[in-house]
Amino acid sequence: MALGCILLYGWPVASFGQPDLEGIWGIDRTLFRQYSEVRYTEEGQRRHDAYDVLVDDFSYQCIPSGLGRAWDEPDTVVKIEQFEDRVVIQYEMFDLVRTVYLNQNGHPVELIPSTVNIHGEPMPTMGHSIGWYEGDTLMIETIGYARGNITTLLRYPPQSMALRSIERIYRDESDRLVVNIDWVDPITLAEPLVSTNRYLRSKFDLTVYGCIKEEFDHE
Amino acid sequence: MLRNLVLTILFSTPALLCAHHSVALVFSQERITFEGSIKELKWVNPHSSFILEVAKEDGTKEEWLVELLARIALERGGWNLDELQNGWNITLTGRIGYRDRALRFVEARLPDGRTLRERSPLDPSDKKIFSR
Repeated sequence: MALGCILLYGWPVASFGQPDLEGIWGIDRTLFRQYSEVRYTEEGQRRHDAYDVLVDDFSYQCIPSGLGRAWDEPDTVVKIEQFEDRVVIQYEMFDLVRTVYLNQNGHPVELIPSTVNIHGEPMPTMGHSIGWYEGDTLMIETIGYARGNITTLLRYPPQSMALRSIERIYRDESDRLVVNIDWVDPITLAEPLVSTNRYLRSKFDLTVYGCIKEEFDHE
Repeated sequence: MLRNLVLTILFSTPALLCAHHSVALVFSQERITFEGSIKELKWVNPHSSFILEVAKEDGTKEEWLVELLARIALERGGWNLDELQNGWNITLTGRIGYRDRALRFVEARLPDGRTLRERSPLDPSDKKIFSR
């Protein structure tokens, strides 16, 4: 039916001639956390081996370990809003708001994180992002990451400050959102890592997540 | 400066018991079943949790941390948060954690005989929350 609608009315586009990616999306459990095989550099292997998820997980501070972790989240939703000059991506987990400005003339000299939490605190592990459209695809380049882990679900590839990622975000023929990411990190990865997640339109609204680290401690 | 801020936060705060992590990385597949009493229920994000107080054969008591899904996930998955109450005696089955005396909630037999399970809101299966 979705394909029929597309054929009848054309591909949905948001205002400003952009492909329409807006909505509230929840992960599609039939295609998520798909990562290519991780090949570490010597330094990457050392950092991987030194990582103790029971102690080092940034989630203890209500901070995402990295951008991949934000996209990998299985139980909360992501909201995308498109404007003429920017795209705002809200990750319900940790109440993250990521603002990606479009058609910039490269990254600024000072790489201020593009993502803040509900208190306006910057999230350096999410890096600085700029975006542009290529046909029906939103492209986002992110650099300026702080050290962390690309994700901490099922695996925990470390990320260095040299990490660069390219996201390709588009809708497929069944009105699902696809997020494909290339991860290049010469410090930790011997070859680029590729990840893919797919999302369905969510029946849930975006809510306040309210992670307060003092609340979940029993010590 | 921002990097230093994160590192300062990370290394200046003691480890907490619950965080938002991969279940597979933090809990083994091995299951164990205890009878015990619930206390310190916390319906929070990123993980809800409670302490299960278990009476040992020698008369002493042992506390186990029981971790569940996030509050937001439990509610969207159909849980009524009144289904568990502090002070209730339950029979709990959980996955043993790599951390000492930590369990991942699998199911609990409640005082009324029902068995309560988790269900993620995005789980496409029609897994039931309760059974008898």
